[in-house]
Amino acid sequence: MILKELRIRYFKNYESVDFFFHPQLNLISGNNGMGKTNILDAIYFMAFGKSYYSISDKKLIHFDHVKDDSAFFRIESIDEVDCHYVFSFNALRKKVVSKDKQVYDKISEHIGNIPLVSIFPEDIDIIKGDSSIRRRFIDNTICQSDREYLRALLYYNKVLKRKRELLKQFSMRYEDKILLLKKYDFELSQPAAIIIQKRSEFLTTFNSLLTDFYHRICNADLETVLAKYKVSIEEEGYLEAVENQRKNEIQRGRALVGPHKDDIDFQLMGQSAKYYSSQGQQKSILFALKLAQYEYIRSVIDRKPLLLLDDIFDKLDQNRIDNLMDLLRGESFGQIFITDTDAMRIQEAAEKADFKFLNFNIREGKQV
Amino acid sequence: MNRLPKSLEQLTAVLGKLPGIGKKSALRLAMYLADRSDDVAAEMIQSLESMRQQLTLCKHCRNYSDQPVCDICADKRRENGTLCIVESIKDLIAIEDTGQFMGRYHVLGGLISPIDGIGPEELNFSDLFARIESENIQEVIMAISATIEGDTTMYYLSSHLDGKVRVSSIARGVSFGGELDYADEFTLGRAIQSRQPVDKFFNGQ
Ligand SMILES: [Zn+2]
Repeated sequence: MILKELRIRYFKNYESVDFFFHPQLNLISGNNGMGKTNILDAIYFMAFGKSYYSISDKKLIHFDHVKDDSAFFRIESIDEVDCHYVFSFNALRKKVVSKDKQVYDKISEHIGNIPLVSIFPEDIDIIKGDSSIRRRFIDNTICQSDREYLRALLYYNKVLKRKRELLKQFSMRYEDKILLLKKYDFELSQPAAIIIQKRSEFLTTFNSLLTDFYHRICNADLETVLAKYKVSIEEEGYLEAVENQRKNEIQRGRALVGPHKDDIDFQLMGQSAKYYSSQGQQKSILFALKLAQYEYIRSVIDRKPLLLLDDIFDKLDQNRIDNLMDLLRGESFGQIFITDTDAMRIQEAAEKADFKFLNFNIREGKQV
Repeated sequence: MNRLPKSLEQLTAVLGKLPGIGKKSALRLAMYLADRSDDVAAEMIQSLESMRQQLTLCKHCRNYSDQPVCDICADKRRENGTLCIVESIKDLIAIEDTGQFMGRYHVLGGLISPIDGIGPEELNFSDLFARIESENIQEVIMAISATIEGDTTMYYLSSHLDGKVRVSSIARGVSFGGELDYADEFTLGRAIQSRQPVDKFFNGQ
């Protein structure tokens, strides 16, 4: 898909600005703190209905206006087939998303309309951080291409939230707690099975893409990369596994079993990349992960996702920048957005790779 | 802006506390009450006072009532061995309006919801179980909304009542988007007529 136009009102440090993008490559430059990344975050919000940085919606309202009762922000996009999406938020009416003026009942129904893959510097935590970040990565990938998975995940999380609260209620009678846990676990069993099965299927396809991109990024055909699924439940199934742990769960007041305990181990040459790889290797694995994610979504939905690259050239040598740009110039990629503090550096790299592009220079929330 | 006299301002503030009444409506209502020569205000004062003095909850079913026992519970003809369990008085009124149910009610006053700290004990289920025994109830009909909370409450109640009485549930989900009081009388009435044994909702669980 191609984003022709983006209109931002009162979002982060933007009061009112309209961008008209290039269908191939858009370079966004400016000093730190001027709002380069906020443009990417606005595009991210259009796709997923939330900020990449897990900031609450209210805090996304432009700071000059946030104290106002009627404060709001709005982001609108127009794509290559003139489809018009509008996200708006105000403290009273909450968050609303519409497509060509038709309002969706739930935000989740919009997910998948704007396929998107992004690389932010913080994404290195997919490799270095805790398991929740890795689960979010695979969930984000599968949800963009599989509605059944999205529904299963939403329902699972809804019931899990209730189960967790139940487990925290220490004054409840033991028999009551057991009975209600049985009910919640029964409700969880079906989505749990769907989530685990689809994660496992996904990783099988994903691994061949991952290896391929890693080799292309590093020019190192011999190094093997693998995303290994560390599934929380083996063959016995959710219900049996959770029943075995029920006493333990009650004692500790925590939900110990289920796909919310899954993890993925990224392995380089058979060793866990989290512990046994250099910073450079981790960065290469991250790029390979994200480009493989891109290719996976593209092949499933047969549309080219938007690709956002935030400040990724920092601390990369010229060789690797050129290599990456050549890779992105390939057939399978669509519209790309790149931010960088160094306007000359990305422009030269783009010209060298024979990109057609537009330049956006940002200063204090304005295009200059 | 022109400041209101204190009495009118106070009245506006109180009216503004009512659900669905904003600042503008509150002022409009306050001025209406102040203006009228036919003295709606006096009638209101009187009916508010008698409501405060008389209105209570029925000691059997927790419906509104001016007596300790409500009209429905006091009516011998409605002692037919069926008991309809609802979440709120709003739901009771909705079902009563259909004219399709001739038994008695029990108002839970909430649903099991750990997120809100509401468990079986907060909902006084023991009163309900005692009633089912003492009033010789043969069939319990659950008219509870199709949400996770509604489902959980139905599951809890039916597993306690299983084998003691017949437990059924009105067809849910399709005809009334989760909330009983939004259903029109016709569909709700039909749902009560075509109620299903409750185990169908839980696949034998
Ligand atoms: Zn009564």
